[in-house]
Amino acid sequence: MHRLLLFLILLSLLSSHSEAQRTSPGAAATQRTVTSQTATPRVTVSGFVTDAGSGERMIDATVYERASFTGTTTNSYGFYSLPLLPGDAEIIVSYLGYDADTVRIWLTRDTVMNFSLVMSSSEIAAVTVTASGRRAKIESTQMSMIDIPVEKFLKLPVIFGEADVLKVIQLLPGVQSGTEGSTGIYVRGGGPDQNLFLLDGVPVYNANHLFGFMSVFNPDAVKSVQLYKGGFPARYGERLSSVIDIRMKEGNEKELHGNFAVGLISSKVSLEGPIIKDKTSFVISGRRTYYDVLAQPFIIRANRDSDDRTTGGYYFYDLNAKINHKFSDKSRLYLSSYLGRDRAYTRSRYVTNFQDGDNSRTEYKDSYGLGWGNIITALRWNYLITNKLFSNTTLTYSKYDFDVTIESSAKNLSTGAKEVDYFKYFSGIDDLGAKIDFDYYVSPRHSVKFGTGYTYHHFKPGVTTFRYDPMMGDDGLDTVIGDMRVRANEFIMYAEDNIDITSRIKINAGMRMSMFGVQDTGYFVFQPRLSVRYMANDDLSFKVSYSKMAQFVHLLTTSAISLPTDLWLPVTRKFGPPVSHQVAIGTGFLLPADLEMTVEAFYKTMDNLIEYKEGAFFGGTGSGWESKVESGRGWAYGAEFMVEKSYGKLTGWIGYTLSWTERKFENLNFGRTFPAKYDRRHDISVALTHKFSEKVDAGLVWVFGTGNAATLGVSEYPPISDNDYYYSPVTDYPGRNNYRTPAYHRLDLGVNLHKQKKNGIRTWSFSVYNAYNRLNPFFIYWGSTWVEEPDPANPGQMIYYSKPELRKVSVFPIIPSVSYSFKF
Amino acid sequence: MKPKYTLTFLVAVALTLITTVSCETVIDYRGPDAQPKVVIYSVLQPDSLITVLVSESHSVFQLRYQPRQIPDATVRVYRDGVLLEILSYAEPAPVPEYAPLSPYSLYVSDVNSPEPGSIYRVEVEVPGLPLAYGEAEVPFPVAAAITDTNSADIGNGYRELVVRFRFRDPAGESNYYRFTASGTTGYYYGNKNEPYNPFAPVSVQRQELGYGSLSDPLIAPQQEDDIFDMYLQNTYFLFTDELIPGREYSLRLSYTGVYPDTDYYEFLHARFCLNNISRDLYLHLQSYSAHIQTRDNFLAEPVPVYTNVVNGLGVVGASSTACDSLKIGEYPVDGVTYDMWLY
Repeated sequence: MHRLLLFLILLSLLSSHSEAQRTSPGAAATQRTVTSQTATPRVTVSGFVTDAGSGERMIDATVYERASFTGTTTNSYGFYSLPLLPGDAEIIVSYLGYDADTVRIWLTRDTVMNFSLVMSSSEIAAVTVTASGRRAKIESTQMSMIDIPVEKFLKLPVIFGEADVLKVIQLLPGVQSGTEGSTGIYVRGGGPDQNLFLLDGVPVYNANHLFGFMSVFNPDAVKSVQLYKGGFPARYGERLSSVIDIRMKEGNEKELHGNFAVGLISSKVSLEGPIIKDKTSFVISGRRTYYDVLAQPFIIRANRDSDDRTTGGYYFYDLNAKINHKFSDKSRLYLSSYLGRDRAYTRSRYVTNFQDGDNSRTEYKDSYGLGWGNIITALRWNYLITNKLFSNTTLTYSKYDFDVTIESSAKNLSTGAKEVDYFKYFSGIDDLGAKIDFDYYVSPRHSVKFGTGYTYHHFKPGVTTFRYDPMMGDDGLDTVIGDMRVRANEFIMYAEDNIDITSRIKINAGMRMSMFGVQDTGYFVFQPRLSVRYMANDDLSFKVSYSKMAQFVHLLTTSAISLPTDLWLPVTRKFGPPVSHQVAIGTGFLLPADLEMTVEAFYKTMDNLIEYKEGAFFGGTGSGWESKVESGRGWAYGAEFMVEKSYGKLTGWIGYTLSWTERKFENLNFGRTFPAKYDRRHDISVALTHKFSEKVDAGLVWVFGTGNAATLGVSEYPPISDNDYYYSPVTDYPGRNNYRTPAYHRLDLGVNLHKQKKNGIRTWSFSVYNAYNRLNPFFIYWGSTWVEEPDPANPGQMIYYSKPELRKVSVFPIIPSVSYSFKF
Repeated sequence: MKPKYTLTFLVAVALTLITTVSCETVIDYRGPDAQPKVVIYSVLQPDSLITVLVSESHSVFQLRYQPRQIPDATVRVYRDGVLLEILSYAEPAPVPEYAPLSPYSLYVSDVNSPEPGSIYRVEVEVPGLPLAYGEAEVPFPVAAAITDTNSADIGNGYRELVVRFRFRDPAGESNYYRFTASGTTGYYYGNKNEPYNPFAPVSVQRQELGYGSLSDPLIAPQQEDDIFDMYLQNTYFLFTDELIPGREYSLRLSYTGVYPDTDYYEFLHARFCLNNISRDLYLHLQSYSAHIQTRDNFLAEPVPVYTNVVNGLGVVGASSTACDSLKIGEYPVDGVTYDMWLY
């Protein structure tokens, strides 16, 4: 609490200092302008920026008044508010890939001006008008944030031709991927549970389909993606390492549009349009895999000569839907929902072809099922209280669960008598939340965001149901074990202040307070945030930031891919909330040829991390997990370089990360520091797209990364044992994660062929994943081969022995893919 | 071929490819060479002469590795910093020609037994390998006794034998324990629905009875409903005094189905022991157990085995033991036929 008071006092001192600067006479030209602003009453220009074609509200569009050099950007709901001096004003609104809109107006009073931008038909025009847009990034206090252009990532080649948000994020500096092909991300030394995935502001606990090889975010439904790796604004929290803020499309207000696509893994369809033109619109997107359907003919063929009828398969589906209604320019309501589920199953049926003593036959059935999925819903109300105060009230629901079901039955076909054995394991988490956020625009150089929220968590770490009918004289069983449901309450408050101290120095100072109550224990974590930007000149800025982050959930995971055994658990009395401190320093500048460069260095510490004990792994229920994990700390540091080109025919980026990630646990590796599994010294990524014409564009991705860390022993010795002769040797491990797998690199190429048809545009996409067929390691292990060779000591005799071999398992060689889509 | 058939064909081919393409290749090991190290196993017990087992590690790349005896090692034992004895090599007992050579070379004291409260240092020098050594303080035994024994019918023809084994943890120090129990049991193989038949033998077996301690929360804190656990926890029945510092405690030892029916000359002669062991031995046994149990589990992080041997591997530890016996039924009894399974 003392720290909070101190912080508030410092903040008010800072504000009063800035006011003094504004009123000091004889200041520099820009400061004189500011002085004039405080002396003269201002008028406020506010409104929304939308896409002229669809009516979609545009996030982070730049709104700029030319004469006064003042500007702002739209918030997450396309709203802007720009206080200006009365009189002549020339307002320019721009956004990447759109023609800028310029309006000249004589301001006498508060004015509402909504802008609709038209998608640019000329790349050159877009470059010309978006210079201020390019500078917006340099000028922002926000660092360690990357705005991922959705329309660009759809053109990049990806495995199986399935565009995926998270796989694009993996290509960014500071982000390490997990195992090949998976969507796991590790940001600045953090673990996979330290990333907050927000879908329309609602946390998504499991962002994976297909055991982690695809994410749940259907690109057809995605409007914008922002990745925060550091310098976290106070409005974000509850994870240590990153925030991935994904916003869904709102739906075209003007006319009905849609698209469908057929790929190797899945097919998808999307439809959007007005329900009441310019008032109410909807968007709905769905996709499903069809591996299970395609496999059926092969399964039927395999069963043809067998008495045992076995079938099985795997599929996932997901559905995104959103509807919004505009009550007025000031009031708008959104209802968005996501529903997705994965399911793997086998079923077999066998009927005895002989008759028992009572002349009956028996039918046996077995089924195994594994499923997991998310349900996410958000009801959001945007309300413009005044033209300077914007509010957003949200009710959220997020549910994640997985289950394993095994059922066996035996049925007497004559009597109908049936005996059933049933086993079900279930785990999940439900969140119910409410929050309210405000954006207050004090002046062109001062804006405030603040808000509060509450979430009710219901953890079901692992519930197992056994049931079997009385058989063979016993009593049968119907029981539930491991039902350790945990309920928790989370309350947060935040405030962030974005102030121009001088024309060159701008800060974003914030604080976040999180309270978490669980098992009669309360945790309070105060999290100060600070970002400072210094503009050296128009094209060069320096930034520094500090963030303290905390989270109140752990993910227990033992494997490199996402398995349903990954278990979300709350902090407990024994294992408190993980907390991180991160300092980052960086610079951003514009280069010729429309290039932007950012360089950042960071240092991050993480406390109260948990890892499984050596030898332990998830055993099925959540009730005993605390005895299987150890608590420790970690740290990461490094530098990231990124050259980006957002405009023109050739766009993309080149990123390089040099980093170290280490862990230290008192009871792991005998207390010695060890590299984290995804400690990667060098990480390079090149992601480029080139638009040759309206009909043809192509993409290229090349990645290189130092090999993952692995624990490998290369010597053996006899154990402490009572048996002298027959023993299993002990492997001597020099240290945890002591070995590096071979470096990872690959090249992906893709081309998209578009053709205007009568009712829309069809696109054939061809891509090659891992074009030069690099056999990258999925994992390595010691194997052996049996050697048979002549015995040099005994001519004519053979000797036989086992020879050890280090083996590398690769799963993704060169993979060509093709997909077809049609957009109307 | 119509486009839709082309697409279907492509999809089918691609899916087949995906499911069959994962491949395995042999790669070079690019790491430091593993140099052989001296391996020392010495558990100092006050009721035994000092013994040290000497062995050596070898690289996995050493093809056709055969263990050897190391008769030329120099094994020095220091007590409280003073050289006590240089141990003598003991020739292994003759073994059949086809049996593999033991990797353990035994060095044993002629006269000295460890004394509780003293610190022993075992130093081993094997020609060609760096000098390796480890230390252990011999703990005092902690008295323990059986305080209660009872049995109860638990249904389905089974009985549960419950033994209470009481001890007091010494205050003011951290203690590490290992529970051991061994027994000789006799089972009647005849029909118990009929009177005793002297021609039906009583099968005599030796058994480790330590598993009965897993019903005690001190020894088996992880006795949860852990349905997928792939390995048995705490195979050495180790525990610490963390939960009972300086307090008296009765271990609950539960055995199902071993209660002897003395009407049929069944018997149980058991010896329950509380071993007060050094911390290093505790850590070594604990990690070795986990190492062996999980070595084939690809989901678990490998477990390194703890060592306190400097420049080497293995453990120099100590253990002091207090035991109590339990006898139910008589053995041997004249006139009863015994079928001996004592191996």
